[in-house]
Amino acid sequence: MHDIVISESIVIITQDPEHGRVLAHILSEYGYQSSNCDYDDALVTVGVVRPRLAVMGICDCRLGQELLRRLRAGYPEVRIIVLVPEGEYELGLDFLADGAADFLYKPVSERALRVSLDRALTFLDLQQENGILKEKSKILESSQQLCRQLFDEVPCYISVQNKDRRIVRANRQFKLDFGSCLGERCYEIYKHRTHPCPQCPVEETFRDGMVHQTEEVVTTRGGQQKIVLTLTAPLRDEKGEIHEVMELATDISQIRELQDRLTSLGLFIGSISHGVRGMLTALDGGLYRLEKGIKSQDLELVTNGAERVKLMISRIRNSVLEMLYYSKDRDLNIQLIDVQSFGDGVANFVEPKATKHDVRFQKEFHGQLGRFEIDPEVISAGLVNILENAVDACIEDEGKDRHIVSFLIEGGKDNVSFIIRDNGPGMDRSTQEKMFSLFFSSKGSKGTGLGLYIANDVVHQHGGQIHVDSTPGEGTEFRVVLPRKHVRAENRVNGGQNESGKSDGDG
Amino acid sequence: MMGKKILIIDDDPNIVTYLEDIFQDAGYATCKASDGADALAVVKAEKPDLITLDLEMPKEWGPRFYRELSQDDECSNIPVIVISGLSGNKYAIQKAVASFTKPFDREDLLKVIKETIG
Repeated sequence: MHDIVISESIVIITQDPEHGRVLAHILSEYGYQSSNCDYDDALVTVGVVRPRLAVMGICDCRLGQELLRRLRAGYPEVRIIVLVPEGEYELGLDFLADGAADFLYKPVSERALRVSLDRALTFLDLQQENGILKEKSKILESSQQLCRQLFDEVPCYISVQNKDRRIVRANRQFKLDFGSCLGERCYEIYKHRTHPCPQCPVEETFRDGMVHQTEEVVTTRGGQQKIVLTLTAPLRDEKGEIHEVMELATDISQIRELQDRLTSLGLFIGSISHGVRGMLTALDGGLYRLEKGIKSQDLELVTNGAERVKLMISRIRNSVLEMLYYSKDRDLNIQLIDVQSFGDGVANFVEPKATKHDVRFQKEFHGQLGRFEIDPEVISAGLVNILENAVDACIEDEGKDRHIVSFLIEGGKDNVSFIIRDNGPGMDRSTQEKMFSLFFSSKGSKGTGLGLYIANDVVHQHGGQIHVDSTPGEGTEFRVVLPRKHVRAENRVNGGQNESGKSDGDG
Repeated sequence: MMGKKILIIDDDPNIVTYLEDIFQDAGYATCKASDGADALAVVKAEKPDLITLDLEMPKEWGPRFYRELSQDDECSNIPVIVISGLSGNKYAIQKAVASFTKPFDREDLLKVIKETIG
């Protein structure tokens, strides 16, 4: 109840000025500032005063209803209490139906008027509060919608975990890549672990309330591995206690891949520059002999110098070609090729080098050789590389008197196999495991560490495989199996993804 | 007539041949080792007046050989010239008489050798 109403304006509408003055007097005692008017001035007065309340005395029912209708239409926010002749209950109800806030009988009792005005004001206050609440609710709803949208659409994985480390909320991206996970534990979902990860950032945030950061490798439900940068932040309840922790994981796999690529490029440049410097020095050595031979008219020295120059130019050429291959992805130029003449071509490339160093070169072709679909340039480069390695291994081997490199081709129904065997020093397991890795070379400054990496790469690009079997002291066998029909395979493969016969056998 | 003796340590036989050629043509005797691991034995057997040393070799790399050499009273005074393809070779063996990056200038190398052992 309002005991004193301060500065509340009210308009009193009546055709009886005396009655109006009495009402104004009564209302002024409650603190109302009254403005009196008759029916004719009612709309104008209400328009000027803009009260929240009006009291309207009814003398003529029709005129009264007409005025009420117009006032309601012009100023719907004004609460209008009508005063009807005593006993005119039905008339009062009619006015209520037409939009009056209340009706009282004339002559009006002070108490009834005050109660009615108080109720009208309470109604207005509630209406105002309701309006504010509606507005707030609208803002809240749109904020929630925005938050939900941000939570779902942000391009990273967000999960909220409780003290039991169970996921209580997760965003759309998280659910998309890791499945429905509510109630599950983070380490089960992300890493398929049975125990929490060591130095769990969520655990740390629960402990100290700080933001923590880690880098993790996680596996999606599709089996794809991703490198993610994880940040955790505390979520506090109204008492300020940490009741949940938010974990935000950003996929940085591409950045890491780029970094790896740049690192390997750095290694590559280092490796190449060291090798090339050695070759250029040896080229100087060949030129020195050549010039000395020319000066002294020594044909033997000239020939020897020229051979050295040729050898170094060929090594530099190979290094540059390998470098060019590595620095740019190239598309395969697949052609239908006759296996026999292809094999002869490869053999002819390597045989002179073997013969020159007293290594017997043995060529054997078996089965229906027919034709196959390959890029002859890259496959022959790969096979020549393996064959030259075999010859080099024999030249380096001081453990035997006679060395043989054999080059076999077996034509199968769907595949063609190239078998390269040598009785050189063989390789230990560690060398076998690393030999297809980028920049691994057992030849010191003579190798770039690219040759076998590229050989492995091109064979995989052709949908083929390389198997290796080697025994230290006895020799090595490479088996390159290529399908007759070309199938498009994954582009580059990392070193070490080959199949080593020796390793398979061991375990 | 052969004068002072130079030990060439390098794993690349083509570079060894080149160094042998230019040293012998300049009147020096030569001996060789293909790796740091074998080189100390060659030093003891041949007693060279100067050593040219490659840094990166498959079995044992140059600086480790140099450490062994400098700890051996008999050999620690033999001057060493580094000839390597590594760009930072100046810092690998700081007590070296000189450091050359491959491919090196023949005349410069011979000049340093002449100044060192005559």
